[in-house]
Amino acid sequence: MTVPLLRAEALSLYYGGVCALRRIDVEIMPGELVGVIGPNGAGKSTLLDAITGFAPLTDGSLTFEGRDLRRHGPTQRARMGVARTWQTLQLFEDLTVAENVRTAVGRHSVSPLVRLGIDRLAERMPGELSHGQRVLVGVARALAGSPKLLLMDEPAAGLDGHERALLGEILRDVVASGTSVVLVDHDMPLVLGICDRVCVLDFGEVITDGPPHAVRHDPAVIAAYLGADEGEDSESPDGSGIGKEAVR
Amino acid sequence: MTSSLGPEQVLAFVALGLGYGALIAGLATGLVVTYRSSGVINVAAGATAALVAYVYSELRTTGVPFALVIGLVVAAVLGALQYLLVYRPLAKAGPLAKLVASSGVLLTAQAVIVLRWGADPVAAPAILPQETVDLLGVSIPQDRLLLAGLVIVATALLWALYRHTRFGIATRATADSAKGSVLLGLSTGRLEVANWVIASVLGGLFGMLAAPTTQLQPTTFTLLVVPVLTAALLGGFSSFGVTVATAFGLGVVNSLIALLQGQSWFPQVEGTPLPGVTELVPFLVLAVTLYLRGRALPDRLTAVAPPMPRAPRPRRAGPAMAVGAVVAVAALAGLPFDWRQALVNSMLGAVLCLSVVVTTGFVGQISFAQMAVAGAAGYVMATVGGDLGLPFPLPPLAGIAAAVLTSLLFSVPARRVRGLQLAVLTLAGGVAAQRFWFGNPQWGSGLRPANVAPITVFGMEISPSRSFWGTEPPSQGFGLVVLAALLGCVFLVAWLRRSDLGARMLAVRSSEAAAAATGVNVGAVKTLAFAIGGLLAGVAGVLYGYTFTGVSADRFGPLTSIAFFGVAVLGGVGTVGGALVGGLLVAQGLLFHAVTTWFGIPPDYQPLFAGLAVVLTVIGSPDGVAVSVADAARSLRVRRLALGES
Repeated sequence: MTVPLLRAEALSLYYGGVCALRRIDVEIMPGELVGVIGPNGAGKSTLLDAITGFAPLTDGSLTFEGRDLRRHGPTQRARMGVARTWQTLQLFEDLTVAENVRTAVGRHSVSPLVRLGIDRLAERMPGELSHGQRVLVGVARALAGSPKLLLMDEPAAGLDGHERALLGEILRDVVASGTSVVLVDHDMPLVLGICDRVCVLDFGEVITDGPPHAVRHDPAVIAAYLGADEGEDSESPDGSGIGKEAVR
Repeated sequence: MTSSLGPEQVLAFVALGLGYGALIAGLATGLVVTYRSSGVINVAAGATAALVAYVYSELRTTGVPFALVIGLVVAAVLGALQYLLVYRPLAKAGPLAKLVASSGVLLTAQAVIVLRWGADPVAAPAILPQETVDLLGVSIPQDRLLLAGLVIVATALLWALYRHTRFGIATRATADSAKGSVLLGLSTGRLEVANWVIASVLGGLFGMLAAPTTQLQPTTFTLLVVPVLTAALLGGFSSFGVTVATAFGLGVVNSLIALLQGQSWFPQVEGTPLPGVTELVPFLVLAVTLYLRGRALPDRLTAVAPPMPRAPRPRRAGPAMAVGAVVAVAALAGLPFDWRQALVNSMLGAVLCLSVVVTTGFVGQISFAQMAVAGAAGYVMATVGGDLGLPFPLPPLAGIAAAVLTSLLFSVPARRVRGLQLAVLTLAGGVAAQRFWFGNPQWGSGLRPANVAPITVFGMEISPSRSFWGTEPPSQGFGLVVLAALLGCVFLVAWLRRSDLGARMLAVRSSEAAAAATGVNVGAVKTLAFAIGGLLAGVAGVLYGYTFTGVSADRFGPLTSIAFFGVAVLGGVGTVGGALVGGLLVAQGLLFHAVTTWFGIPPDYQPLFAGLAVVLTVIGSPDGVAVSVADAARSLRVRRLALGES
């Protein structure tokens, strides 16, 4: 039996009295592509923040290659091999694309720009690029430190169909090279199409965890999305969009 | 001069401190008002109040009736004008731009006061009754109690205004979201004018009322902004109660220190009580509070989010440096002596601006203590070369090392305190360093300058006042030394910007979280930036010492720091070229020398032009003159190319 790369047990995170994550158990195996879906406000981004050290856990244990992650700050976690991308990309706008990638500590022998096919953009400024190109720069920067685990926060948002397909290929390629990937996204066809396993969050809890075909037909998943669609949950103002995608 | 220390004395001094406390409280509540409505930390509050107090004092001495009313009208007009001319055009600008604009207003107001009324203290005519009252057997000046009472009443009124009236609620809505109040159908512009007028009238009123209890002297009054900022910051720029309480606390502590300084056991330096203790208090209060509370303070204060001035990579740095060096050598050889001196001053200023480029331009930390860091170098160099008598090059090296250490000291709070809070803290630190260290007759030089021994290499003395190979002073040899130092600093900063470390600095400036997530050690990068910034400021301090063959406390004051910061932003805080442009613009530099010589404008007007230039540049060209010029040149080239192709 393989040892998990990342093991989270009973993760809980409260902001004041509000519960963002409730006793979450997740395991990520080496070379695995895990999708995380759920309505807005389900705790997907908070989970990424908790794993990368940007949100303080209230309780639970979090180990990476058997080492306790909670003892380390965001910088140390990145250096241990936990990389992430941001929903808002957070590119360094004053630096060229090549410089953005160079900020990463512990560089790869093959340039991630070449690997993603955007090496011709190396000397451009991020502000001059299209959204799709900017997303790829964010991915390249995250890959530059040769991470063992890459956490991606809604990379497909705002991409067109062609770009989504390209992103899917890139992620499969990343996983094939041995890096595990956690993909948080609302794009159901993408997530269900490329992931080995899909984990569904709702109200800070894991409601389903399994292979895509099982998740697709899980009544709890459909209920969670339709529940958000009915507008009872005031935290998800645009949850309806996801619901539509889920039933499409 | 030993006085006894009984309960009566303590009570009397506490009461005396209420006057100073009331002045700080009046200004600080004004600061809270303008911050809440416009997001501006108005460092010019003290200078504006001083201007009003001076106007009032002149009206009274010339016997104009209704002087107090006229004074209040002047205050109202100044408040409205500041908003309409400076902060409204900057409504969408970042906090750095607003802070720099406010520094420009401070410099302008200060310059106007010095031009019109001189730099020496002026007697301020009393408004409140001067009789004493008997309180528990101690006679206390009545005006202090009245001042304290008035400020408490004014604050209570303000509190009620912002709590219960439509105007106040609308203002608070604007502070949360300008969009929100637009949706409510309120004009944010009119609201903000009203708030600026309220703040300015408040500051002006207490400036006029309290001037007789303190000293009406431009620098003292302007620097009141340090305790004022301390009070407002402790109140989180939102709580009137905490702000006023802190202001009174600082006033009373200030007064009690004066009482203790009269005691025989109080530390003495050359026969006088240890100076600068009063200035040390706000700094320590700020440092401890900010460090302990860390990020618990409001976000708008900590997030110096973009827009920051751009920081493009230097292009063709090598050839540009070579051309610059040749031009400078030719200028040193050919220019008459006054122009040579202006060139040396400009090169010195450019080195100091380069230190601002690293700490503020590259890593986004606003430090108003750059002159204190330079002063550390100057004073340590004077001591090592003078008292210890060590030979060249040990004194300048020790001086630069001291500057790096001083700068690192300021980087400790920078690990937890960010953005505008750090600006306020370093401003307080700069005031404390000037008074507690440089102004100390034993550690520093007191009121006199400390001599700096000239550079001596192989028995040859390279001093600005000596002739060099038979030419007349100021020495061209010394000019070459300054030029070599400048070129070294330019090379260092240009290299830094192209290095991985430089990229990480800009990454930290852009987003600390994203930088950390790529494995950048944010704290270490900031510390390195402060060390390099300190090194550059240290080189500037050492060169200052040599240029003026001595160091004196008044050269390394916080107002000079603010002026240099303004000039650096004016030139362009993100680039080496910007620092060089900044050097041209410094006081007694090339540009002002040209203006003085060619247009016959007396040098006294330099500070006024500098202040106005800072304000105008922030509004007109937020990336700095150098980047704007480069942009214009590039777009001209592009247009030519396009024309050529068509």
